[in-house]
Amino acid sequence: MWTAVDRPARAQSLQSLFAGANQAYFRGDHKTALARYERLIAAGVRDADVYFNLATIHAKAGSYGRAILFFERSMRLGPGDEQAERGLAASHAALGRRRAESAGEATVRTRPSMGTAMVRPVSENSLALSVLVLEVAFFAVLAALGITRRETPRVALGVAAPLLGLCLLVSALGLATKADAWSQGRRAVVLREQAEVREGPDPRAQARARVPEGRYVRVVERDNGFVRVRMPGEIEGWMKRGDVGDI
Amino acid sequence: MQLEPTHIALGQSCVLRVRVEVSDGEAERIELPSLDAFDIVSRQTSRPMQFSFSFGSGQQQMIQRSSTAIHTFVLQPREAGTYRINPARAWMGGREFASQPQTLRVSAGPAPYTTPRPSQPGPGRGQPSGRARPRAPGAPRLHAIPEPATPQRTKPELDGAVVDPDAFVRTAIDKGEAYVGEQITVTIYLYLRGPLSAAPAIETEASVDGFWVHDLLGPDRQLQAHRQRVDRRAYHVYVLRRFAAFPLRSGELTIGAMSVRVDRSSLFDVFAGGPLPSLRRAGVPLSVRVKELPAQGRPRGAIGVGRFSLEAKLDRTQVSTGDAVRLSAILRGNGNLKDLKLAAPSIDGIEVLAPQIRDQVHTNNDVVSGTRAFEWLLVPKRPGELTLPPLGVNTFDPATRRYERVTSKALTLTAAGQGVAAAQAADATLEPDAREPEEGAKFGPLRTHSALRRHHRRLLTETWFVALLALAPGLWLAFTLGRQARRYLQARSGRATPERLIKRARQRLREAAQRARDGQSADLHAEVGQGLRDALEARLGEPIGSMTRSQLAKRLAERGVPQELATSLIRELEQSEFARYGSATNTAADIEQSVGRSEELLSRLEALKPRSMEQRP
Repeated sequence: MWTAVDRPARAQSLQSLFAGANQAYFRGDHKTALARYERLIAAGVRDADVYFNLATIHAKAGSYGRAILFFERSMRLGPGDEQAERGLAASHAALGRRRAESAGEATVRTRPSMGTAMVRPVSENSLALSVLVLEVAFFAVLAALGITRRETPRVALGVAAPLLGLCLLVSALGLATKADAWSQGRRAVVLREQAEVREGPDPRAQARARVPEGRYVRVVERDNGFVRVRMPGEIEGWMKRGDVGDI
Repeated sequence: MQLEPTHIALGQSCVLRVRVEVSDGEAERIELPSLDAFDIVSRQTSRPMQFSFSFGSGQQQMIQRSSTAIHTFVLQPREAGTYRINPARAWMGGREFASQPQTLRVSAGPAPYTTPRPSQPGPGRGQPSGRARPRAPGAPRLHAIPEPATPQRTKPELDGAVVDPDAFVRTAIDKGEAYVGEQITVTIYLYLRGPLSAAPAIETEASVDGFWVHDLLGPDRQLQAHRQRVDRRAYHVYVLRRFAAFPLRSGELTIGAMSVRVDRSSLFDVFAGGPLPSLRRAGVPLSVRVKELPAQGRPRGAIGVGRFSLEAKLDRTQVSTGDAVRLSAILRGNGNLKDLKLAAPSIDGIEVLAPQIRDQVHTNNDVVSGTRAFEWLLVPKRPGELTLPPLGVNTFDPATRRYERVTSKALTLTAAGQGVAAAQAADATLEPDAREPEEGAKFGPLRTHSALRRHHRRLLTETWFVALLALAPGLWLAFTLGRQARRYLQARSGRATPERLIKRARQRLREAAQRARDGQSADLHAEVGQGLRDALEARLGEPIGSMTRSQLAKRLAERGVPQELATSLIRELEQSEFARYGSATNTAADIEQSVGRSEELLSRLEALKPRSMEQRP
């Protein structure tokens, strides 16, 4: 049983852990800083700023795949964060340059789709609340329309109903986009350059493709230490769990 | 195009002036020579003002007959050597005009003293790059100006102006001796006997070689005359120009003479046999003795002449290593702002990028003042606390004749994070993908404050939220279905079956009979008649209210109602009508008989199966 005294002490330790991680970073001890941030994550902290710091350290160290992962997580928790967006774009650009230098050319898609870009500044919970409010208003107007007999209120309700319906539709679509409802599986990022995609969840299975670092994939299934991923171009296969990070 | 002087020492400045003068028009395009080899200390473009003419009021306005653009550059070469400045070009009416190229010699040692060039005849109208040359006081005029008929005298109290009974130009300066960089205010007056009948035209601007000038009069001013008596003659005095001139070098410098033409035509010329001839007058060039700044106590380096203050600030005092901060320094005060230079701070561990300089010059009571703002980007290369030393500029105040060093406060900058060199070495220890941070500077800075939220609840996964989402449409659906059901039931009850109707009629008849037995017999016969009619309508499936007796009998026969029943029904209906409106009193026996007959008829109607309308014979 925990008491009210326990909780403040635990919060204190989380704050001191966070401060300690920052100090380690400023001292130049990136390894310690990373370890402390990851302890915070393990303790259940799901904060946009912690993810941002993790992403920043990884980006400065050149681990752009992990930087992308943590920037995406930070933006999911704190939509509209321009710094995180810039960091994400810079990570993609840096990956592209690195790949171009080694392979001669590279294609890095740094721009999200239009739908994703439109809902990016808004949080999922905000969209969900707006859907709920609009839905209640829409059906209330429909119900009032059915019982109102006077001309003027009927006209007003008749105008309000389609407008509300349209707003509800747009919000619902936005929420579906934000919640990633159009595709199966969970969005993830490849963390290792040229990570193998195998035919089965087995290290002995034949590798059918290699995926570059920073590529977005969708995780549809998990089995032991492997995840089944799906990529644009209908490529599907199994990758090691450590090579992929869930956003 | 004119360059003065043509031989300077490294560190000194020269003045390049490009003058483009076009009569009855404006140059379509002007191409100035490239000056990339120089530091442009200042740049000024002046276009003599043009005013619209208004006639008939006491205030006359000036019309500029020729369009003139004067581009003045103060240049400082970066290295010793010989520089060729390409010609300036102008295009007008499909023709190209070019000036002469200029050559500047820059020696590493001290430059020889250069005397002013000998005066040359001024240009004719419409030729570009021409200008009037100065002449020494007392020297014969070089312009083709008709000699006045009456003798002239110079007036020392009028700055040596040559007084003419009809008109003369006077150039006045507020001081004949000044230090290098000290403001001299120059005013050029036109003295005229009588008011202006036509606007005077400026034929030649006053030359200001060796000066940086700033106009003190606004572009939309009007000429206003004041009266002054000279040699017992009353003149109208107009201010043609007023500007601040800052000498750029020591020695004898000359403010050149302006020449004007005054037309004297008027409406009354027709009575006078023709217009009076125009008056052409030129002022007298004035010399200014420019002194070097006093040697005693003179600090090394550049010196700004005037009275200034200096303020410096950083846009932020804490930054990550490798990120840039902006250092702003503002020099504010009276004097030659354009000549002020501020050395970039030099701090170990900080990279200083080239500054951006912005000037704001204005005048107050004919004194030039304003601000000169410098902005540097500083990039700390190593972490730690870095102290920016105070910025400073040496100044000389001509009023007090004292040197003063104006400084800002020292500033402190804290840089956090590992230095660039250390970062490149330390990154190899990071697992699992340790690589060079080629883009490290674009990321961050790290966030030092966080609420450390531990729960991120997604509403979409909350049961109560999903339930609420489903509640609204569910309620609406239930509401709509309920209304539909009610309507259906109402409609259904309105279309009651004949048996139901007959049963209802029987019920009502019994109730009416009971009321009659209780002494309320008024509606008994109405109930009898109504009940029989309702039962008939229900059984026949058509209204009978509008039918006459014979029509009803015919219809009943058509529908297969037995003759005897039809006759009984009609008779009972008639009797109920008579009894209803009659005044006879109903006895108990009457009531029972009536009720009995009606019930029997209702029972027979209930059992009746009339022919349908299509089956009628």
